[in-house]
Amino acid sequence: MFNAGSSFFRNTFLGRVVRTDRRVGYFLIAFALLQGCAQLFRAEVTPFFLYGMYSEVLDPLPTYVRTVCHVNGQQLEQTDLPRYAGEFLYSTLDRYQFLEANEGADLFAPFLDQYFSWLSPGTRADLEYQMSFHPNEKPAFERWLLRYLEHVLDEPITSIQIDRETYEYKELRPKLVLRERLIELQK
Amino acid sequence: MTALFTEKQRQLLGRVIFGWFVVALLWRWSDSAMISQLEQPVLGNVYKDLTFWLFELARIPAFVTGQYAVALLLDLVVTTAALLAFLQPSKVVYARIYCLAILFYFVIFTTYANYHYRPIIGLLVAGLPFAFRSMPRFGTFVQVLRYYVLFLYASAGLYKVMRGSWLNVDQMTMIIEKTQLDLLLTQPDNWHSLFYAWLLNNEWASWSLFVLATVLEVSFIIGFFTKRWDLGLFCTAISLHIGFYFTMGFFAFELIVLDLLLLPWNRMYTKGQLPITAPALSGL
Repeated sequence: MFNAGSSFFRNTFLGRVVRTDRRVGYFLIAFALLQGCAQLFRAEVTPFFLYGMYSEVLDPLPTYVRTVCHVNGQQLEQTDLPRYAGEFLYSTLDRYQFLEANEGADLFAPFLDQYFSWLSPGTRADLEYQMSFHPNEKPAFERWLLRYLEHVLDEPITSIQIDRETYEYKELRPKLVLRERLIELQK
Repeated sequence: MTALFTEKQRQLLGRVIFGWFVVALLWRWSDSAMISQLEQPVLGNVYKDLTFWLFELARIPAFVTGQYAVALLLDLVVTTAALLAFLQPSKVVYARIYCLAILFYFVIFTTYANYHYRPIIGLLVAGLPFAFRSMPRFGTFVQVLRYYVLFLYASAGLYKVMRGSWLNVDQMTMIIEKTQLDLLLTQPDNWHSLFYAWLLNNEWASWSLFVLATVLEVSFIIGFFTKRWDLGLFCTAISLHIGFYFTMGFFAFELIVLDLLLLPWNRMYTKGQLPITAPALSGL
């Protein structure tokens, strides 16, 4: 049985690499094992990615949230910007609105408590503090928003408003339920 | 058998891969997505990714983005290294510098993009084989990347099967409702919006597309047993990307470069030439 397994392995790609280039072979085995562990524990640690691609079962949500940006009184859509700039700006705004909705609470504390309970509470608190965004950083974030939009749009900016809009689908069409102002900037 | 390459084949593949990187990077330059163009961002997200944690704890992202000269230097190094590797694919030093610099770009950009953008992995790993001078090692790593591409698609399909999402009739409509809200609101008469609206109205059609994508992704398992279907798998991968664009508005230019490794590069320029084989591999 063991010999059959050993013989099978020797004839695989990895087995052949181990026989011909031991260092690379062991490196690849270690990589494959770590990738396997990442899959098993659903731990995404670069470069051991999980490629779910919308594999989580999605159930209908009562509402959907989007972030809206107005610059100089005009609504700025993601599609108004170059592709990567639009993605960069809106994913940042989406995270900002998420943090704002959760009163700044991030995902790190529960994660640290679950997997790093062996660290002292003080160390966990330090780690969480360094990796999180804090409400007192909001002015710095607003200044960055102004700089980045001026850079991307290449025009002077006098005002920025960021809103959170909540929608629900009625007869398969999105209908606005609630609008809340998150940021109001005047230069 | 381990794929063996001639120097000419390696150079051709190197030009294609690094040419792709140069285009991807120039696209990012033109879209203000290089580190020096981010205007010193302050809100980042290291997710639950321990590699990102290490960078954050060493304060690398803040240091690089905080100093314009350092950020610009990183951007120039990564772009120049890709360009030089494209022009001189046989020189491993450019590929090595590129691989190291793109890792820093990847972690820093993704941290501040606040979005764990995995398709960028293509820019990160597709250059790895060219960091090895030895031809057998180069061939081994090209093979490894081929298996990685197979794993990437097959695991995406298997996740859908194991988690049961392929049986969820609402899955595709939920994806559209979740990801296309902006487009449906702002450009309701756009052809893409009309197509999404049609998919929302015809759940059977959107679910069928999701099941089809799952089947196509699972089919990549074939590649673990034979290379005979690699060209078909390459076409399947490209079809999936076209499908992702139409059904989710998502185009992963950086990931497609990995699909190129399914093409039979070691069968090009074979007339009158023998691959450079290492003595260690000659007995295979």
